[in-house]
Amino acid sequence: MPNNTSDPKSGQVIIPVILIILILLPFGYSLVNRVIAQGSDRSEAFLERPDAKYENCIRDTEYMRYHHWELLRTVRVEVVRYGKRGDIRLDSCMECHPNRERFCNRCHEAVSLTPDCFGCHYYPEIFQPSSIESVTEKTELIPVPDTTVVDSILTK
Amino acid sequence: MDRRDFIKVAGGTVLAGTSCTYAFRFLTSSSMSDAGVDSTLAKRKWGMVINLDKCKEDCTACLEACREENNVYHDEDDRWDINWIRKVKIEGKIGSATTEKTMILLCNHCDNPPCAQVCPVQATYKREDGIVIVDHHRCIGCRYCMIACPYNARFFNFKDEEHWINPDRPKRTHGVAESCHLCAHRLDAGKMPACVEACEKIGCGALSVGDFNDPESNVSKLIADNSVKRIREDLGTEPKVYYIGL
Ligand code: SF4
Ligand code: SF4
Repeated sequence: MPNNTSDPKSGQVIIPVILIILILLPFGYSLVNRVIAQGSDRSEAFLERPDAKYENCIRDTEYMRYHHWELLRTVRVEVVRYGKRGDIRLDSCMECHPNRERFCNRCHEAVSLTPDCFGCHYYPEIFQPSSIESVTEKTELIPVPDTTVVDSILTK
Repeated sequence: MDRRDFIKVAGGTVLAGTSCTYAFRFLTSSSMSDAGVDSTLAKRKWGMVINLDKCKEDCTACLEACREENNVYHDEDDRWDINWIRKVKIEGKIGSATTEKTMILLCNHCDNPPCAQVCPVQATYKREDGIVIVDHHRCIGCRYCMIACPYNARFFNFKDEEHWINPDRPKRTHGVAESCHLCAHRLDAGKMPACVEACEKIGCGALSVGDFNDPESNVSKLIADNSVKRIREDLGTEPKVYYIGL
């Protein structure tokens, strides 16, 4: 047979090429995703602003936007390990931000984070889907911060 | 200096340096763990006294109160069911006579807890006030603690609980171990555990929780005035649940 299969030379080239492609595949995937995300109109993503009566958050907006998880983690350690039960509770966040879908998840989805707080902690809206409409009517919406900003802060 | 001396000196220096590093690390870590957090917990040492003579045989008030307070998973199938506090029948045989007794079992909040010793991620630990508690954020679900506990007080969440009975308290998702935490959240807030309150409410008062460090507390007095027993004292776990009338 003239065209006998394994020419040893071509095998030597093909296998490394396949391996390199496999290794590069995830990088390419995320690159393409990022380009698409930047090109698309992000005005769809927004956070829900709480009622006017809740003017005072425990920290300023800028801090909460990027460091709320550090705050929550610190409080968690203090409560669970040392029994220091202060005013900062996940429940008190929910008083002003009653809708998880329109508050927590907006950003978390944009940056592909899935914190599992609410597997165990109660978020009332899960059981009262009707409250979603009433909340959106009276509240103003603010845009989600650009993910690149979040990235740069998280990697600082 | 000849070659031999040089090697001796160099070797000695390296050895001294390494041992100093370790000694320093040891010193700092031990002093930090004590002074890291100004905790008020250490003053107290919580424990429980159960008066089995007062406990009614088919009363389940404390068991239900516990479930409702802490969102403990319930399943009809015993394999998945979780009981932080449970009732069992024990039989004693002396000669030909058999005696039967109902007994309340829960985590003994051992002073020397084997469950905390085996936990690979330090999710289970003894709080400074003696309560043995699981940090479910950290638990990886390895179930070592269930094997280590000689009292079968540990349970595993094989399934997710769907009903959220008490929204003020968290529940647990599938994959973490848990046991009674003596209602630490209530004790921190100055209240008594749910089971104790329930037992008092129906007028039995068989359960009492209090501070062992205080000789005037209800539990210290009960221990002083009655003949008390702990279960499997021979194991050296130093349980902090005492039984009257066992
Ligand atoms: S009774 Fe079991 S779970 Fe409770 S502290 Fe002792 S060993 Fe740990
Ligand atoms: S199951 Fe969780 S609490 Fe128990 S030993 Fe493993 S990690 Fe620790």
